Amino acid sequence: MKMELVNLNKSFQDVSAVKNLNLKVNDGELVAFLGPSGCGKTTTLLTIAGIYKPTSGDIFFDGERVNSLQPKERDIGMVFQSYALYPHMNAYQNIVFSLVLKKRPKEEMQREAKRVSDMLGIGHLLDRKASQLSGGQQQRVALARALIKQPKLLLFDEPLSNLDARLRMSMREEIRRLQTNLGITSVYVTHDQVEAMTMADRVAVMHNGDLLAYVTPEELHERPRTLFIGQFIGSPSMNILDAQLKSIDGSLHIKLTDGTTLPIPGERTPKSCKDGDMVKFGIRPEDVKLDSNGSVRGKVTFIESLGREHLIVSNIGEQRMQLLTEPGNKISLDSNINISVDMRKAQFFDAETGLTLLWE
Amino acid sequence: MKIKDYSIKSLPYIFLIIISSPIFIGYLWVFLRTFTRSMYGMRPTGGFTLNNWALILKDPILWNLVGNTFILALGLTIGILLISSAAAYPLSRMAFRGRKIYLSLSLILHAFPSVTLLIAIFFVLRWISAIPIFGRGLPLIGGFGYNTLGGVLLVSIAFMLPLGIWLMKGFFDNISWDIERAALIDGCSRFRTWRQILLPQIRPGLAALGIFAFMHGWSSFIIPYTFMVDARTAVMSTYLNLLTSGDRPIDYGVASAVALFQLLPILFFYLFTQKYLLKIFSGGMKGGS
Ligand SMILES: Nc1ncnc2c1ncn2[C@@H]1O[C@H](COP(=O)(O)OP(=O)(O)O)[C@@H](O)[C@H]1O
Ligand SMILES: [Mg+2]
Repeated sequence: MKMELVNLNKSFQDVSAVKNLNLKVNDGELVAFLGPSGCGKTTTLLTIAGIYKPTSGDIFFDGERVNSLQPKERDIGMVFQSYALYPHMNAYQNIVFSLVLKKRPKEEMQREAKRVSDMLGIGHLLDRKASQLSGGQQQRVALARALIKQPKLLLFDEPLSNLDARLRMSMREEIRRLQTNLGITSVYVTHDQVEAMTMADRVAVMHNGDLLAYVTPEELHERPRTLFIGQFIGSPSMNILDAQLKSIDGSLHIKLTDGTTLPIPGERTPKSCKDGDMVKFGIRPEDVKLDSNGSVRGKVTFIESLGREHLIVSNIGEQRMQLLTEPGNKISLDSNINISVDMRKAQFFDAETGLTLLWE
Repeated sequence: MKIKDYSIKSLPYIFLIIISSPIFIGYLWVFLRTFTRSMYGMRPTGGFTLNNWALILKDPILWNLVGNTFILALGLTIGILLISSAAAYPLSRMAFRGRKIYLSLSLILHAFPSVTLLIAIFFVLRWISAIPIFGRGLPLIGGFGYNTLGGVLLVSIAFMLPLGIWLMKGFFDNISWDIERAALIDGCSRFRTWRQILLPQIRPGLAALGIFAFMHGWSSFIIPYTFMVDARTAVMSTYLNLLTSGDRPIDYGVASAVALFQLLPILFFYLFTQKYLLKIFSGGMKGGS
């Protein structure tokens, strides 16, 4: 099913939670709504579900305006962060509840419950109460409850946030696999950018009720349109340094606050800028290396082990730069280091507006 | 050392036992008095007897009163449970004009001494009496007007509703929104969500409030006393009052037997249900407006 939001607004009294949202989801696509807590993701999702009425704007399912339809008439399934299982029912009763409401025959309920619980590997848990299930099992039951209706649209509200890291990873894969196999159009809300980047076909980045970007994960990572996106996407997050554009011998360079200059490759030339302009220079930690021949000099202020790699924080003049190294390097705190920067990966943002100076 | 420890620990208990002993002694007196011909202080005189009990248990009025009291208690329980749980849901879950005001008004009403309203209610019940059938022509409860059991029931329910609604609202407030949303998406109507998803979850709260209402109805005095003129056809508490305040000499043996008879069900009821009653305070009071 195709889903489209047109000029969608939702406010609560004086709080404007969703502002003029325009967005299309294609048939079978999984779209992630990504943004920090409080940016309006849940509100958008509940408006799509019909729990909230839009303050203004329209919602279309397959071209049909559904604004006035009740949640139960919308043919959707929803999975919540809190699992939201009915505590007085066992797993089976939870799963088939929507069929009970539709007064389907018992054989059909049993058959369908078996179908979805086999898909999710919870066949042996069906007679347990919610309180007798672990978090991961509860979320599977909740997923089965959403799937048994064979919904045209699946809505996920941070379904994995309450699970531990390892389980989160395997559930991520499993949800994505199920979604692709069944071909159900899905909207997946999360504040975890790794989840959004690994699962989604497209990511809608939200901030304070605004849609900042709606592109593929790759595009989001490689071509961030705003400073906020640049810093929000990727872990550890992108280094942002104040810099000045400077023409040296006819080619454009940036000059960092400590006086270091770095040449800008032709394909990364900031648009509509001139010699002497101040810009925000962005570079990801993985594109910065320890290199004795490197032209940037810094001082180590912090070292953190990330297991496979070490994160080193160094000061360049007054500004912070994070980089990743192999753990073998014998770097000590307060030592002076030389750094080389892969300028082919440089990002530039307008110092005032934070908008990209590179991409359309 | 050990003995000293022990005695220090037991001091508070001894203190508590001493200050509550008048109540225990009072009940003990009532208990003993029902089995004796007469008492001098706490000392039975004139020997033991079952006459007091025989007298009241054979009295047809008593069974009539037990029936009335039971109807009042049960009616209050059912009425309070139905109305509170239905009224508390929108107050907890829906946004509508006047919700805040309604909540604070009902809280004030709860704090209001009910005695001040008795005269006004007297007029209201008189008006209700004037309504045909509904006023004073119903079986079992007599109607809802003045000098009927139904009228007393109506007033009792009204007085207890603020408390009931607030308690139930507290329980509803504690249920996660997501569960209700899940039910709406699964295909429930708002009413069905209330009935099938939310009510089962506040069952402990309903049980607690129900027990509370029953005990309240069983032992209520001032409302039946005011609005049911003939104490002989009213409830046990008013009959007890009649027995102890008439111009005839008071038969303490019979009065004590009636008092104990009224007390016993409450005592048993309480023993078996205190677990639920405690829930009112541990569960229902959480959650704000
Ligand atoms: N029912 C509500 N009443 C009032 N304000 C709300 C309500 N739901 C959400 N908000 C406000 O709307 C904004 C967005 O909330 P939400 O959609 O829950 O964010 P997210 O899911 O991205 O964390 C927040 O400022 C929140 O306080
Ligand atoms: Mg949320």
